[in-house]
Amino acid sequence: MKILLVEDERDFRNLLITFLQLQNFEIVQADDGEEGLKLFKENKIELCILDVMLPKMDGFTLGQKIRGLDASIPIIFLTARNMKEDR
Amino acid sequence: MKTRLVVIFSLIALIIFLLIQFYIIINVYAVRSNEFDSKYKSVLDESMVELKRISPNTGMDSVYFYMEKTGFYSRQLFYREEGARQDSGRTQLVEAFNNIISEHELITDWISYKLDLAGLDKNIESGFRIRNLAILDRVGAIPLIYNDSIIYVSMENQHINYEEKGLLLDKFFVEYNFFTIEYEFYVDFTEKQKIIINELYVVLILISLSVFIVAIVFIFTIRNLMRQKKISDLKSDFINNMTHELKTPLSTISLATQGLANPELLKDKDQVKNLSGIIEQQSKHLTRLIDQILDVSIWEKNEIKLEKSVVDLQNFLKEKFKVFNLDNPEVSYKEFYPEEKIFIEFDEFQITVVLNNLLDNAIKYCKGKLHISLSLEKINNQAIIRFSDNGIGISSENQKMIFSKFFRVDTPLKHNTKGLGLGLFYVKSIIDAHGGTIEVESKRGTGTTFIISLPINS
Repeated sequence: MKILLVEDERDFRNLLITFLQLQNFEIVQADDGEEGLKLFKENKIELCILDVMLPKMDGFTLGQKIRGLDASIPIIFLTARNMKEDR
Repeated sequence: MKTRLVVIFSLIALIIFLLIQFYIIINVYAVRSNEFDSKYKSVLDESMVELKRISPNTGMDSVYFYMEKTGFYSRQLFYREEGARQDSGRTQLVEAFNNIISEHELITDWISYKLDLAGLDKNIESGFRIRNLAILDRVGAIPLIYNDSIIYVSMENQHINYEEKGLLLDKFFVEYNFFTIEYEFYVDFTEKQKIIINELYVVLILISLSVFIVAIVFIFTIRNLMRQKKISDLKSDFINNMTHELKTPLSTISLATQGLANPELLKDKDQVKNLSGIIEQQSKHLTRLIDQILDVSIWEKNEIKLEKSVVDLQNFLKEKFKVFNLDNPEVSYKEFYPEEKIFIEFDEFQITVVLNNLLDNAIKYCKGKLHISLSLEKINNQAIIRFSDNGIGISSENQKMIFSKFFRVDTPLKHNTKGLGLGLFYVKSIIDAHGGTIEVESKRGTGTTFIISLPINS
């Protein structure tokens, strides 16, 4: 299964990729929102893992656009924020 | 939202307060006016009573004498003249009667005298209004004025527009042989308004003062409220950011640690090295962040402590840039150094942090390919360091705020770039502690230049 991973923290992204590859997932990676959207359009993605804070286009906007292109694809958001306002 | 409601309600309260003050002033004036009227009226009434006692005709004896004479001779007019000529005669006759009263009445002088005696203001304007006037004859009465209108034979009756002003002194009705007249006497106090306002002087001043003070307090309070709200917003923003900034390296560390617990990954020696390296790096990053936060909060209470040593500024800057370039090879940069060496006394560690902050910002707020230029020169007794980038620039309103604690430029980028809003505050604090200055020159969209000036102590 191809997974799109968009996360701008290099170390964290690499760690996630290491773990996901152990489970035999194929990863398409990007470190900013625009790149992520481009890669989504070019590949057949089955699951999206998106960081919320990204340069150029933030995670939620990216998620909305992906939703616009594919209504049923599962999207997982990564965030360290758990303040009430962010919920 | 709540703040705006508070401001609106306070504004409404202030306006109501002002309206109440206004209402109070008007009321006080009305009360004083009535007081004035009754005080003066009682004197007037007493005076008229006394006058009638002295002279039954209220001193109008001469007036009635002349009126009788005029009435007697005026009868000719009605027999001899007709039409328009009679009407012009009627007009003259009415004028004559008015003049007789004006010239021979004694009431005005009497009242003035009495008011003066009572210690009141004697500036009065008196007048009279003839309501009805008729010439009497054997045949009957020939009306000249009836219900405030001059009666004419060949044209429309002319209504006299009497000014209904002042206080009514008395009404008179007399009938002699050749005339009968009904008229009123009134008295108007010309100085009344002035007198009352004079009495109200103190009240007016006190009220104006209180309005002024309330308005100022109001403005100050609202300004304070706005400022507090801004600060509280900045603080909660900061706390949000801080949480994220601290949790990010922690989650990386946590993930790496889980990796080390995974038997598959443990088999790979390179992976183990990689994972432990990540843990070490992220821990350092975390420590740096926490130090930054702690330093800034300690500075609130105490002075910044610097460990100074004499440094060759050129070498120092060259070194730092080399390290930076290794970490960020995609950034192109230029350096300009003067011929002579500059030795300066400063805290190496802190100034390194300052440089790192500026470099981090350049990367954070860049557009496209980042280009940095650094120049050093000696002017008078100061070392001037100019640090320029070709990033997104800073607008002139924001330029005033960037060195403030917790401040971060409000752009869509805000959620995408990480930061605590402490960097430039830290930079300015350190530079200030060294006795130097930092300024910014920037144009939105073009780039930013920071100009640091440090004193060279010999």
